[in-house]
Amino acid sequence: MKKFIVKRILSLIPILFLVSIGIFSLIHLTPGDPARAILGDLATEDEVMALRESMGLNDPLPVQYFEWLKGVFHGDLGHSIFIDKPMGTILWEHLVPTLNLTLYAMLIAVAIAIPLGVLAARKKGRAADNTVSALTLAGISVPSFLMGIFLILIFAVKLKWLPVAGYKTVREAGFLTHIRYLTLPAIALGLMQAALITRMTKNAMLEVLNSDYMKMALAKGVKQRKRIWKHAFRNALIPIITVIGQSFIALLAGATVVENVFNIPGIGQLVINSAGRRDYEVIQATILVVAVMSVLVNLIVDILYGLANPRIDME
Amino acid sequence: MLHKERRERFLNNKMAVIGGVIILVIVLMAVFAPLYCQDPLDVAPKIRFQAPGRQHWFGTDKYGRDLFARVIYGARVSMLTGFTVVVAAVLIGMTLGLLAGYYRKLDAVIMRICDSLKAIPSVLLAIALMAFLRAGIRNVILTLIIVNIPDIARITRSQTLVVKDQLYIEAMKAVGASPARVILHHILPNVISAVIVQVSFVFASTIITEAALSFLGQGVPAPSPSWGNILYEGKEVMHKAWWMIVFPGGFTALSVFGLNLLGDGIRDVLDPKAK
Repeated sequence: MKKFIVKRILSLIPILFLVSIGIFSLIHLTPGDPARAILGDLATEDEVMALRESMGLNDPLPVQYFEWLKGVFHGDLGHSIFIDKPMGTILWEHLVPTLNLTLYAMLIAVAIAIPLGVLAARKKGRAADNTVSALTLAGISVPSFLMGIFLILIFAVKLKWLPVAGYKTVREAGFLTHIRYLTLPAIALGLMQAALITRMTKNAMLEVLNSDYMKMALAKGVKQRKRIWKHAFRNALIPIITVIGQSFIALLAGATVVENVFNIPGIGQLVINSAGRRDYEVIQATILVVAVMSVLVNLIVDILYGLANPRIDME
Repeated sequence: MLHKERRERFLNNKMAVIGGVIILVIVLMAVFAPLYCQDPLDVAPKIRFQAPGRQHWFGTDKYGRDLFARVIYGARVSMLTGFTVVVAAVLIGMTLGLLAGYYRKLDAVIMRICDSLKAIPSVLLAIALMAFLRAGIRNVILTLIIVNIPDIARITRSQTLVVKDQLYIEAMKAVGASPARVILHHILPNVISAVIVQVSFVFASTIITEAALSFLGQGVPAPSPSWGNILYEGKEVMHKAWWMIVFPGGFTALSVFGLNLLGDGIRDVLDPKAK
């Protein structure tokens, strides 16, 4: 097991190396001169040259890359030309709303998906199962930003139950208001993952329910409730946890889009606003942080998977 | 024989047929749009924000443009993007997957590149690429191709690895068949169904991501209509013009729904064990 973990961590090195090259190269995708793109057509040639110099764009590419990487390892993720704060502060301030939204959406997704998935597996082929299948199909067909717009139209504009958009921190408005503002976005974000987790839960449960030891439990006269939750569900948990881990990343990415529907000041809005004002280094820093997070979450999921199921071949 | 059997199995799958019909109808409506639609760019300030009616089936937008025409022309963008992305991503992804699966030396390089592309969630990667490139349909297509290559390469590779070790491939090599012949004539036909199963789902996710990019102002720029940018305009005025989001949103969801049904059906036919 230890060997597997070490190997798995070492395998991250080439991936992170390539990711860093990719993210560094983004700036060179801009058509024409990035410094000119940032400053606009009105800037003089001297101003553009000065910015090129300070961005290090005049150095050879490998030098630029290693300078950038050196900065990253020293915690220097670049500078925003628009927000006068250290990059770390900017990222952290925008990461908090995104993470709150992601976790809330995850909670909603799991709370819907597990009971529905277990129900569908128990009632396979019957009306309840077919209803759940239809719901999950509908769920994966409505993209979260679209779901968000529909939810706003129904629950905010027509029924006026919840706010149309915006974000209130716990500190400025209290926990309940914080949750009120995040509820519609979290539902919009969570429903598609709920559908995916439901499917996965149902399949995992079906596999276990058909196993010999479940028949044995039935024959022994174990009560239904105990059979389903204690015997079957526990054993179905491994694939379910894996899919939940993967959906964390999907939710985080989806949150960046949903934030823009609900005007939540998270990293998605940061990236889109930065794109608008050509604040390129902010985009690079954000993508880098998200990539590292996603790689780490996958690592944790893999290790948990290995710990939970020692039979899995670690090679 | 086999093909006939498969066709029957597909046609017996009611949901898959419904999905296929939905997509076919949307594609036909999009292709023949110029024959029956008004000009989607035709501005008429006198009839701004008109509710759906006989003259304008889906109502009009803030410039008095016909929303029905804009939604149907938006379908052209979505279908064209989806189709181009699927074809290109499948061709490139499959080539990379076959090479990685067949040549051990290439495997590490190709798969590490795919892994690192996968490290960045695809929506965010697409947004970042579009932020540095420039808004426009060509860049949207390019970006979505890049985003979709890794998954197709990975599936092709894993199938190739399974097929490659089988005895008849060893036999082909022993009698001196060239690598190109082995790959194209003997491995490709055995891995292709696993990829075809993915086509419908890649198409669906491409439509979603294109709509999201255009909604965020990073995709197809106005005034060209796309479902995403109509939704963006609609969101600002939804309190007084519900049709601006219900129709483009409905079409987006309907086409993704159709593609998902179709994809489930194709999977049941080609790969009955997976479910």
